Amino acid sequence: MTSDAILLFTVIPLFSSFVALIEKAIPSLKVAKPASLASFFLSVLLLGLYGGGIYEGAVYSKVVGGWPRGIGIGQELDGIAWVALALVYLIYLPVLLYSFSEGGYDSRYYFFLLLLQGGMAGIVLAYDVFNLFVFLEITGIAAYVLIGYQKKDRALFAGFKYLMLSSLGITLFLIGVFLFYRDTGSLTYTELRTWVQEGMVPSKPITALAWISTPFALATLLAGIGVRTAFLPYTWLPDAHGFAPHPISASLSGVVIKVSFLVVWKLIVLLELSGARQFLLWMGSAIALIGVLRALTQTDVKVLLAWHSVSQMGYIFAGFGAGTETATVGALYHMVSHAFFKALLFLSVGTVILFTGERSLKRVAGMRRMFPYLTVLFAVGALSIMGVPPFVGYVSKSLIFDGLQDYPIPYWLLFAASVGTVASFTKLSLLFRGSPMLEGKSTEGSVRPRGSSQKGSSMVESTETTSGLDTHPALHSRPFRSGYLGMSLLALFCVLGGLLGTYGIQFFSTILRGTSIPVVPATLYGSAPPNGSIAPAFQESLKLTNMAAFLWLNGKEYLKTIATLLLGYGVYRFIVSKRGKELQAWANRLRISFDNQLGLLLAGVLLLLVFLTLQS
Amino acid sequence: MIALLLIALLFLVSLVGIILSKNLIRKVMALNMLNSAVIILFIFFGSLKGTHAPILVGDETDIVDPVPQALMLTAIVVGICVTALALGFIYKLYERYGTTELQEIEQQVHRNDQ
Amino acid sequence: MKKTNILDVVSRKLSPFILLFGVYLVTFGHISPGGGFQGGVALASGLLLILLAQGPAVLKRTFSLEGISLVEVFGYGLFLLAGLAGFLWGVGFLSPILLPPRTIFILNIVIGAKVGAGITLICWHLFLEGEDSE
Repeated sequence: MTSDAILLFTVIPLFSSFVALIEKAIPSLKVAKPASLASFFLSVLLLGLYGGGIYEGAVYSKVVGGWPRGIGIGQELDGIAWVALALVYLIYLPVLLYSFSEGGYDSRYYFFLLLLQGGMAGIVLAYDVFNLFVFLEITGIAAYVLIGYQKKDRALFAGFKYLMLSSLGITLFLIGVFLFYRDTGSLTYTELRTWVQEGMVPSKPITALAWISTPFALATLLAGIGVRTAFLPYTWLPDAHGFAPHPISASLSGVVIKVSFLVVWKLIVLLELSGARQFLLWMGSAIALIGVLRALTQTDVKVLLAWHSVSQMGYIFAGFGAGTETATVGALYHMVSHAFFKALLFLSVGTVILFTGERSLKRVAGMRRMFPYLTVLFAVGALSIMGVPPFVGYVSKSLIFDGLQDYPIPYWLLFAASVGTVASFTKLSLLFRGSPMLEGKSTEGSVRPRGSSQKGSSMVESTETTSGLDTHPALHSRPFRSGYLGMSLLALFCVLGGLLGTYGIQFFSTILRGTSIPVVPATLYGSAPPNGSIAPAFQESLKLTNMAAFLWLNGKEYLKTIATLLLGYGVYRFIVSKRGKELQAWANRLRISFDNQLGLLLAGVLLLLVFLTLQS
Repeated sequence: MIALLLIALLFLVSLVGIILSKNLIRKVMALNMLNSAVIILFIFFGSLKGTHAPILVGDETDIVDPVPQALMLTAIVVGICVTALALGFIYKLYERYGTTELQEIEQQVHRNDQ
Repeated sequence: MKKTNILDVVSRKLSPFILLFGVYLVTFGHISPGGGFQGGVALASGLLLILLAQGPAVLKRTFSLEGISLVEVFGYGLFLLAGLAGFLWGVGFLSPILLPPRTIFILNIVIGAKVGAGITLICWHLFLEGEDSE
């Protein structure tokens, strides 16, 4: 497979965005939606063509314009980039299908959505720091616009805060690039690696202008990208993801933050920054717990889910920061699984909000009879995030916990976060399983069960609507076929990712072989690795013995999951009690003002600097 | 040396401006100034390498470093887009909340939550 | 707003020269300081001088808003096509085809038009209380 075509990963979405833009100029040509679908299929085709080579460890690079490497803009497709692109497109399809169903999105929305996809493709393929900057900003601008797309006030404010924090971060990033460029005159990752290796030697004398030293440049570089991946600070995420349009929340929580993290991953691994890894380990565990604690106090369903995004990213940071092989594969696996179940959760909860017009747990509950299939989909997502087998969350979480054996404090922090997650989702599931309530009033007894076929049936029943529901202004009256198709796909991925866990682990460790992370010991969960091409490994994992060996016979993890579930239920009973509710109200009043958030960013850079300087 | 001090001064003033301003428009202006500081930083250090514009007409060899100029062109464009977007956001926020003061907006948001 | 004579006369006499200067920056971008983006911004400032000093009606009379929108949209496409032309010619995306300055020259003109149109539209919407656009 030739290297030339990797540029098409960015060009296809950008070209499709142009086609979508044509519809804006000439409104009679309805080409935006077909263009977005076409972009998906072409990109997936391209991805498949490269798949075989990537599995064997090949790395493809190409410089734009035929210039020699180091002078021209270079792009490189390696294992991690391939996985990231696959994830981007796997989440893109359900998001697109949901946007088609939800309606109300004109050609400009599809333009920005495609721009987002193209930008993310560019981020993972970038081979020098400036290309990275350009694509980070493209993705950022598309994200800001999409967050504020429906022009709701909270969304606008959230988008504005995200914009300011992100821009401040990227300015710091540019300063890091400046320091790097000044010393070496080059911008590629390979040069960066050489420069860092020379600069991190402790005996290097600090010059009179001490801020020229390498750790400062690295701290600002990483911090700049770190804002977008929600570790320093993470405070913009709940509002931004909570008030964005539903498919955009799914896309943002699912892939945009992961892609930025993958860049941080690549840089830390390439430059061997163990200090930054330690920083991520401790920040990650703390963030995981803080995220869950804040989620427990929320009543707005989407903001609750967004706080869980913060928390789950903490798992990923801690897993990556631990540095052991198992935890690293676990972090990559958790990135993928979180994308699946978080997107599913956002879309399913979004459907409820769409059809009932309510977002607060105080005003809507017990929707299981109105949306039976949706309840199943939500259950798949919730069980995945709680880490229940056989769903995908169990696999990734057990990997991370297994890898954190040597670090007791982060281990127990993450365990507490898991308990909190179970409690929080038990509370959130009241949306479906509690006693029916709409607009704060109970509608017990007046909710009629819907017809048997969910997919393809329209929302408004004919004349037999009941009191309180037919007078509700926000009821949608259109079929939701593609939306349900998209969500079902995500649910399928959640289930498959869990059942085919052995194959998943081997796949990811083989892919990671292309970078400098060592392979997971293959007898981890009881089956020997087949090496070579993909097909035999896949067939191996489909054997029931292998599935069982992984899921049920791994006693320790299984026990831990049961303990988590029991403790979580206990915490849930506490928070719905009277004392719990008072605690929630008090905690809800603690908030960080925007100015302090900006200050937090700078504090985070300094903290990262300390970790980097003190690394061995 | 003087140039470096001036750039650092511009940078610090903008940084303080972003964090401590009470008005959203001032924050955006400070962000713009911050971007300008970084751009000047790059271009200044690039210009120390030569004396002529970086265009190879004939046999010119004493040119300034072209790479920072290309990079900063991109950075300027990005800065303009982000500023335009931020101002658009502020305008919409002004329509909804009737003010551009940060604290008043936060208070209104908080009150709507209760 | 009450216009003074000075504003009226100066804006009407000056803006064609600003537009001319913008075109100069764009077309000579490959051999003297300037280029696509810079020239585009100069073009936009020429148009915006008319907008601010004379009002939107005068601007619409000389340059229709739909025309500017079309330029903005198709400028994007033309840029991508120019890049793809390099691809088809067999030398890779955005490679120089024919003589080296040709690609840059074409790209400069396309970018100049698009940026000029884009910034004019952005400022049009911001100044005249419309919604934001890229």
